[in-house]
Amino acid sequence: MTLNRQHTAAPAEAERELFLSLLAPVKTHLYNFIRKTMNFSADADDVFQDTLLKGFRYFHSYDRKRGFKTWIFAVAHNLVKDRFRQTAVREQPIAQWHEAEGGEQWNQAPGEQTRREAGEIYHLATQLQPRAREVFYLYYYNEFSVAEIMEVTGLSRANVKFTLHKARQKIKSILEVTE
Amino acid sequence: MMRSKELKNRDKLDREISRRIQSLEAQVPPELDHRFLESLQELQPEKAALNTRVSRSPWFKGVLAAAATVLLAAVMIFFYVSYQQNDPSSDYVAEAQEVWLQETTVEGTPATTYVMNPKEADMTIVWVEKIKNKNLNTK
Repeated sequence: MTLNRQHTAAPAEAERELFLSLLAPVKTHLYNFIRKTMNFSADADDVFQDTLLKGFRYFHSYDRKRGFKTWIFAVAHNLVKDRFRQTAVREQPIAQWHEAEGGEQWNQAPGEQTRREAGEIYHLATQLQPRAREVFYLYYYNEFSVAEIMEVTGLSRANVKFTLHKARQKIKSILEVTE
Repeated sequence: MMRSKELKNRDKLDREISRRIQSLEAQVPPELDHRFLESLQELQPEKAALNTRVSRSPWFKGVLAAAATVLLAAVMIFFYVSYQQNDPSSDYVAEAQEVWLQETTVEGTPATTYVMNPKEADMTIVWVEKIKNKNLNTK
């Protein structure tokens, strides 16, 4: 029988501080990604909490060569996937998310047309399959590259590109793109 | 030309979509943050134990490694032995031979010879005193 010492004991406090410092810049984006992917469901807060705790619990297995952002989003992706499998996700119709607790906020005061178009795009995204919705938000909201999306979701490059292509085709009719 | 125009339009569409998607964003509720930090405190002792855990790897990994090493060594020995047996240069083994110089004659007349053994073991120099231009015979 072989014995392996997995990791040297890092001071717990230092590890906690390191984890929190790496988490700080991505926390809001992570929260929003989970909320939007789960269609603003009330379960999103639980999944977010679980993601952070799981991330901290297994922080010792995080490969420092890999980006922290993709790693923590991969943790979130797995938990969202499990949650969709286990429970019927309580989804809120898009019109209600303004009144939802901790609701969405406009970053800049948008015009009426932008507001309407954003609402329609979100409405369209809620109709996508969960996996496609994840890819959609990772690309357009979190601005992940195709390679990063592949790393987070485990999908092939062709699959990611196809998903984005289908989403673009649908959204093109909503937006007026001038050539 | 068409391809680059398509890509340009696609990039423009992507930017427009991103702009609208990103215009709406929720902040992490403070109570959620607070709850997470409290949970972190509770998790820390468990985490410290997890970090220093000595794990036992399955026994068969060691056996497989040993078997692989033995197999590799056996293959190397096999090839070495077969190479040695098939080495063509082994058919020709240099054998030491002694050459005795019995006499040296110059046209039937014995001639004075000097044998010198230089430092090189496989060379012997025989020097014969020259008497005019005569035919040299050695036995």
